[in-house]
Amino acid sequence: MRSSALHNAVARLREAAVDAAWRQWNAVFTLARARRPAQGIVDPEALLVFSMWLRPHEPRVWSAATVWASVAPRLLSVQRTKNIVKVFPADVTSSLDEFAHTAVSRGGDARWRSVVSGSPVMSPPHRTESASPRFGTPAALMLRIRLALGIGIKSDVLSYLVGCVGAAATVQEIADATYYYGRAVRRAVEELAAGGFVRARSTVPASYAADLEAWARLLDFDTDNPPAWHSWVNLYGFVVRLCEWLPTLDDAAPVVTASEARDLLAEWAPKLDALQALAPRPGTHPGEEFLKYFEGQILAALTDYVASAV
Amino acid sequence: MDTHFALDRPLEAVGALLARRRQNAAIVVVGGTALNLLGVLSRSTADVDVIAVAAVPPAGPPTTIANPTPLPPHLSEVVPTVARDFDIPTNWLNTVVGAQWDTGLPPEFDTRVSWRQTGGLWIGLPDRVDLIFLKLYAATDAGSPASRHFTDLMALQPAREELEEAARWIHTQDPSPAMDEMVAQVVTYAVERTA
Repeated sequence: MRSSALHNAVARLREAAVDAAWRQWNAVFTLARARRPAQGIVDPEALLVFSMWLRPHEPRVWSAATVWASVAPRLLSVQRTKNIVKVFPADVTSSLDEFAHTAVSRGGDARWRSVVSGSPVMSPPHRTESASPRFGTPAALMLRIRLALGIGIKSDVLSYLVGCVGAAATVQEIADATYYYGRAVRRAVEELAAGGFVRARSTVPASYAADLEAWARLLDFDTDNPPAWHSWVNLYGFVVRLCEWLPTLDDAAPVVTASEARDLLAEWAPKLDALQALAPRPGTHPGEEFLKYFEGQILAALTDYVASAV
Repeated sequence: MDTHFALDRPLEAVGALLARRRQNAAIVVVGGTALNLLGVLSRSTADVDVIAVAAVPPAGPPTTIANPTPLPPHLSEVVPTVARDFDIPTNWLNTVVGAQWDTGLPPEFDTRVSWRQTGGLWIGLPDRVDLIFLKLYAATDAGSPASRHFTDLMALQPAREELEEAARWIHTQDPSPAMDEMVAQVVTYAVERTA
């Protein structure tokens, strides 16, 4: 049946995303154990918010997040978390509230008060947690740069440009990837360029790149196998959107399902290069025929992409 | 480039999308789409000509028809979506023929419309006689027996009396002697062809 094929394709993608999340926690946190830790750059706020969404069905992933709230909330950006939460369904906010409570009361990080509804009780941070962040893996690059430069837009812009492995990016591309506002990104990247941390390219519009070899020497990673940036906010966001959409279909006609799948593709392809590359040529899959392509090609390829990107 | 399409699936898609949104709409179609749906002929068509819309009552088919311009907003939203989904022009369903309301439809046109439903879309099909009226008018305007309008008119197998009645109605639309003369020529040619 067509609908079960769609359900199966989404389930496989979801499983790949759950596996990616667990491997990412493993790469940056001693609490999580995975056979193969993530190799690509872990976006901690994307991982956190996706873990919140997974909470009802994947408690181990959520538990990693809650323990992180106790031991290392200072390594996370509160403002960026707020920006990224908007990409996800509204019901993650209750988990964010709980995370923030823990970050304030047990992690001793008062910045998270701005997220908490009600008045959290401040208590000394627990020192008994045995888990701790890992900084020695290439995947922890974003956290490492934050350790050096602090939590903020410049740290994350640098991580993104290093993760572009030598390729240049415009202000808009950086803003889209990092989920900071374009104006703030422009100021940050211009100052980074003025300071010699990144190079400005004389393109129109202006673009910026990090010197891969210089950063590889500093951060001790292999230029032949550098940690790459992938848009985990949008990858996870798309998976969540798909999973939330699926139950709404009920007995929708295949032509309706296909049309709404096109809507999803139109909405998310501009945010995800991996999806953009999979968009069909005009006229090749009219009407409900698109559904087969969506299941068999787009979702299957994206599942492979998630598995390889992590 | 072939600009003619089978438009039954796009129309069904409109109905399915409207039903999905718990909305409905009613349109009366003429031209090639109507002839296809009535089984008079089977040919692809460039667009769906909407000559009227109607409000959909809580139960049963629509009754009172109205000028289709502008289309109801919820229908206007769905049409470009279906154009995208089937890779057909965005004006694949249009109300150009709705200009007929300026001079009037054939007498008691609305009482002879038959309705069929696909999802949230009611499609009204004019009576054969009304299609003869409209096709004779269009064939006369086209000015050539090679036009698709004349072909469509002949597919309706009009009787002489039906053509003469249609000619009288066209005279109420355009009473100019030139038009009368052209209509007469087309009627004569059609009758000869029928014979």
